[in-house]
Amino acid sequence: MIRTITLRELLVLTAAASFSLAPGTCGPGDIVDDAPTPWDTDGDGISDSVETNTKNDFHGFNINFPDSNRSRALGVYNGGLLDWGINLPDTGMGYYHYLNDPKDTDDWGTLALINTIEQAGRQYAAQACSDSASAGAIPMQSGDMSLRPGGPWLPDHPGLSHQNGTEVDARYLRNDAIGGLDLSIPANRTFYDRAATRHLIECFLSDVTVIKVLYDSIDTEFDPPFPDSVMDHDENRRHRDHFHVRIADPDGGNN
Amino acid sequence: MRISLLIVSVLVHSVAPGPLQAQAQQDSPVVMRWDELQSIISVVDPVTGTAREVYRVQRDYGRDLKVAPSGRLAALLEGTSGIDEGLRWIRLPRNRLVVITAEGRVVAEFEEDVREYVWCCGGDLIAAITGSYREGGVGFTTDRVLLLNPETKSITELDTPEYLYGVRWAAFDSSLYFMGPPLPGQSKVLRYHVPSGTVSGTPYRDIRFSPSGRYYLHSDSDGDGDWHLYERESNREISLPNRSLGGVVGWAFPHGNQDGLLLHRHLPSGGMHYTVFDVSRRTTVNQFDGHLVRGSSASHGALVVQRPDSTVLVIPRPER
Repeated sequence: MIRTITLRELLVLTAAASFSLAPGTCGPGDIVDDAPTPWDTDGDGISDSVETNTKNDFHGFNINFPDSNRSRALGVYNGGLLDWGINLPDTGMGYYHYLNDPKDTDDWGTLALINTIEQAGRQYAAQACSDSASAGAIPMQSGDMSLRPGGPWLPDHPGLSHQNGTEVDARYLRNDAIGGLDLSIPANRTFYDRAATRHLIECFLSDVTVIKVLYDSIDTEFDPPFPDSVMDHDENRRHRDHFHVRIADPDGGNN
Repeated sequence: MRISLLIVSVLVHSVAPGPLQAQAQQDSPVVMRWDELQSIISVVDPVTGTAREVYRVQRDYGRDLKVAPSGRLAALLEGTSGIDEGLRWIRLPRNRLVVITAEGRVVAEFEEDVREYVWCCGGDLIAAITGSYREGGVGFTTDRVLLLNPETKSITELDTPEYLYGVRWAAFDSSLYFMGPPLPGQSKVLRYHVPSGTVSGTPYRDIRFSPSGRYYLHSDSDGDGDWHLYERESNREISLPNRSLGGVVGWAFPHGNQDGLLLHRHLPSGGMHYTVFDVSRRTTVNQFDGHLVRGSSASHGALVVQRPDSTVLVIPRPER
């Protein structure tokens, strides 16, 4: 396998994370309060990284003035649309977005979902999600979210999820490099970083907006098993190379 | 390959056990065991317990070993690893389907990128969904649905709707059932009647039919994630066995005529306790401790169980 993510890039990520979030300081509300933070200059709950992402220029964000959030999840996750979707920056503190599709086509979501991903990345990098777990050297890698307008995503999601900007896929983490990890292939299990993956999932679970994490409890072999009712083993065994995070509809279900 | 520590025994009904060896000779399922680390497939003699290496995977990885119901053939997916530069695949992993005899002789190699397959159609035929690997979603982007004949090496493309991503053979009505997207005007579960080649929609929620076809199981990944049991004809939900018996694993024996639901629960000692629950009679028909041997497969849908003492238990399909 050829991997071109350099050690320098990883060190930059790690250093940035250590400046930005001290261990133990994370919490569900820490990026959506009114006080400016190192990642949100104007304290409007929209990170500078998102505001300066050129793909989001049509929102007219300004990092020096509070902006309003116009993103809306219409309908439901498996039958809906994404209104005024926001594009996830391709890289951020503690995460990369991997490309299943042409760049900036598969990574749109509501602001709430973007915040969930960014916060999980920061917490994961800062090892701030649990006392016992330690993050691995490999950052989180997020995948499919929604298409820019939302709606059915065929042929890639025939189960019809990922429609209204409230869901994201993330890879199980390798212990050797950034990259995909299909745990249904026995030989791949050698490269599985169980502790880091668990830590990453705990980062998502620390966010109260996360209402479901679909994963494969057989291949992931978490011991002890996750007790959290938010965690759901996929009996259909279709989450063997990623786990799937769903947040609550940020603007309610009546639209 | 030798598995010297394994002692293999066979039970038909543990609640009414008989002479083990005699039962084994009567049923004699073909049992194949997968050595995941060595990528070796061995045939395990259900009577003597000896294991004999019959096939070594020829590509980067192997998976999804399935012995045909007849026991004459077995199939597996072999794959070539992709090239992943970290954040983008330069070359996707690619599968092929290999069919071997119980002696390990290669009968057919289908180079199509098979993603899911099932033995079907009342003989040694295979229905396969091909497509390219895709991280996330259902794991692949569907291309075609094929009917493969390992003996003649023929490939027949079935005329089916797009985007199908799951397949099961239903012997009870000679049909292949597929999962598809519940688009407007299209059913989530589609039936392909093999003798006539016709496709029709169904009102069902899932394709996990019981051997007799009287029931089906459904777990909605997008719903509550729990198992639900339905009567197929009425499509009405019926109650699952008492939860104290354990959580649902699936149908115990995919072939035959007993609608046995396999349940499991963790034991305080650390192992698993399994129960086979006959849904029609609403009663327990078998119980055992151990765990299902990962990657193993047996003809007639027999169960391969490693017991707490490391012996292997092969439980053939009960005959009525």
